[in-house]
Amino acid sequence: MSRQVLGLGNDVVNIQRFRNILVHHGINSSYVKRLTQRILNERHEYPRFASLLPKGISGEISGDKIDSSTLHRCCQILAGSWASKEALFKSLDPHHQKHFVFKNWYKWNDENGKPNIQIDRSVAPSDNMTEDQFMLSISHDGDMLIATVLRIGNVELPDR
Amino acid sequence: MFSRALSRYAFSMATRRAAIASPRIGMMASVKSYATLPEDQVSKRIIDVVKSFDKVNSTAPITSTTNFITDLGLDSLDTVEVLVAIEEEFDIEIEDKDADEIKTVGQAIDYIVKNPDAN
Repeated sequence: MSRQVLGLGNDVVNIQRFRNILVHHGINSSYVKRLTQRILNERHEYPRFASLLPKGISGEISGDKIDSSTLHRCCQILAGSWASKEALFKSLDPHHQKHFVFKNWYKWNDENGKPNIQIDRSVAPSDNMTEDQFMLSISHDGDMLIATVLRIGNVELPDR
Repeated sequence: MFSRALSRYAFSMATRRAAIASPRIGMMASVKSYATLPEDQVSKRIIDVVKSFDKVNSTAPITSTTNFITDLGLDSLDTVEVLVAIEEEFDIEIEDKDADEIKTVGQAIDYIVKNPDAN
């Protein structure tokens, strides 16, 4: 058994695309809720996004008024998660790509701000991709965001 | 339910247009239907949803064999947007494993026609 690089994937996305979606449909629209819940992990990512949404007096999510910096933060969360998962998808073998579900994975940053990506075992307990290790790197320039994922895993060495 | 129906009107252009063309859909929004929808109606509504996308050339013919990526030039994010718009239009939820298999307009029509929850 040997540990090797098994795959590499990257993805580039213009954050403006998410801004267009959120502004066009309304940040609290059912459309945006459906879209974000398809992309973001329910336990680790969506709560962070939802906490930025405009709230009514009693705390319920309401209205579409949002300041530009909060809107930008919402778009960054979505674009970062989207590009990271697209990059991870591209690092997989075709067999594993078939079973890949965006919302089963989540991106998180450690105390130094370094991004990581991993599977949410509470929703995908038996996924055999969890044996692999995924390394994530993200870069921004203005509205452009690029994510790269390196997949590392065990391979059987042939008998000599 | 009423407010959900209202919010759908507020945010789904395709639903709004369909409601103008057919008052029946406005009434259906608050009444759960357990029968599947006729294929010709599903087809028209899905084609309207697809045509409402800025990136889709609204004069180009869209048929059941039209592929979202290879024919319409949509990318993976556009495709997710189309599927969510179809979810909104028919008030259903498309499971991820099913969504992955919907690559053409015809596959979307089949999925909706076979879905008894579609409104």
